[in-house]
Amino acid sequence: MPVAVAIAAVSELTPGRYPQRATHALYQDAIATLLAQWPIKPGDIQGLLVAPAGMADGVSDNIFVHERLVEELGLDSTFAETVNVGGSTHAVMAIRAALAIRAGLADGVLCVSAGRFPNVGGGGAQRNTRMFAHPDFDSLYGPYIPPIYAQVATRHMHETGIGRDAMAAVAVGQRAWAIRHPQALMAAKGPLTVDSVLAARPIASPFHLLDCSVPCDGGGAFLVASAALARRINPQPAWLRGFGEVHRRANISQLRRLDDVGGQAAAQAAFRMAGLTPGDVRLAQLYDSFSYNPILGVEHMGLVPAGQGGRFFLDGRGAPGGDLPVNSNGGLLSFGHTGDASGMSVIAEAALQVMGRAGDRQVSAPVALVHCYGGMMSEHAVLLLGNVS
Amino acid sequence: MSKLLPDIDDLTQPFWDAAQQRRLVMQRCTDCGAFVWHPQPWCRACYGQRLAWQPLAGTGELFTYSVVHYAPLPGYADEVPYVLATVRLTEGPQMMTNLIGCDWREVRIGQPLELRWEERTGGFLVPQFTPV
Ligand SMILES: [Zn+2]
Repeated sequence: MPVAVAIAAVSELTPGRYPQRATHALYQDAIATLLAQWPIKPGDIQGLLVAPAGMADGVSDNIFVHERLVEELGLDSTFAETVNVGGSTHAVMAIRAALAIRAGLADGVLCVSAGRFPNVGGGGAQRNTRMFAHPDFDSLYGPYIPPIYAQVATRHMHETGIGRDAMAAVAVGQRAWAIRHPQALMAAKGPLTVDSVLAARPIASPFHLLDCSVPCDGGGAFLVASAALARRINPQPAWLRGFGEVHRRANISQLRRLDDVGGQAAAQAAFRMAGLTPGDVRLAQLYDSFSYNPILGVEHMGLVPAGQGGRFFLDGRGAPGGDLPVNSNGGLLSFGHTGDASGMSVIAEAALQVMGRAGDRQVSAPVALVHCYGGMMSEHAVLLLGNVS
Repeated sequence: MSKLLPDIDDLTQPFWDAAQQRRLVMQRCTDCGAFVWHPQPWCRACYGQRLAWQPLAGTGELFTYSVVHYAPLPGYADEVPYVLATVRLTEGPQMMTNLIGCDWREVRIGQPLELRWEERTGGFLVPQFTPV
């Protein structure tokens, strides 16, 4: 990278339900937590990127949230906007912030998110049916998010022979990670077994209940900073070594090949920029709206050969004690899926691990990979974080 | 509650007019021959805007599917478990569909499918597929 840029500070709200807090108050809570935990002073922040809340629950209540927060932070900002790239929003925010810092637009860019995620079948169901599949054609057949992603899993299982036991192994491993995380939503539920995941009630084949991420509310914030500012705030920031993003089709019905959905190209771009290879990665945070997605993720990121993703998880390689930890905060499956803010936790965990601040679940992670997708695997963003610039 | 019906506009009217006559049609580029789905004003292959509605055979094979046990909307609750599927048409394009008139336990990727017409509210006809 010509100009070193890092994630200098990160904070997260505890995933849960916050009926007594307005959505804007969750943004304020995320920022207040960040400012309480890190030595960030007025003047350190010149840019602000905010994810819009309200899409997951069908009530998009404020697409000008950045304007309020600019005022509340007292910024004289060089750039600020509300950014929506679905589940890849937060990884894309990190990329936009890095580009702005490199261009000299800012030294520090604050990225903020808050979200709510009601259970399937809530008031937004019809809106979501028409939003996540083609509104006038595909929506007629009763799609919603689980069976849309399930079609990807079904096809991949057909092509590779991977079974439901491998999906279950993903959920089991991530629950074991969550138990080591004081904020994880499902930690108190205790460990899972492959049998308990297989026995849960079916939702949309091949997904049963415990193959689906857990809807909740939450949010978080992180600061992307130039080298000098990052070092002042944090003696071990998470350096943004490389990144890549790919935007392709909106509708899963138009997916033709699983070996080229976009994540692969995003990963290759990130590795090229960083001068790293998949063999350098020691931790992977792979957006996991469903248990099957990390199986695709380890393959698409080049961390295992095509078709070997199931074997990887059956062998426990991503679970605690494994050689390549995956979703060491429990992932969306067990940490919690905070709706529009969910991609925040994927990045926060990778950054905390690289910073050496991951508590009981700390692994040796000199290089961590983040993969987030948005829409129905429509867009992909990959970050490579490292402990050296 | 009934199942969803499409919003129809100038662009999609010819598709639905043909459907009401039990004919499956799709836009095709008169410049380069590429099929275009879903309907849109230009060809993705050459950006030409001379698109014509061409009849399709109504045959294809199952690309992928999910057996849905939990309906998103009341209009679909009577149907569970229903099969949400993607058909790869003989002409090449892919469409989302349901598999109807079959046992969901016997659905297999790659199996040949053929067109059926499903009657919805007001007699409105929607394309569906069934195993051959
Ligand atoms: Zn053309």
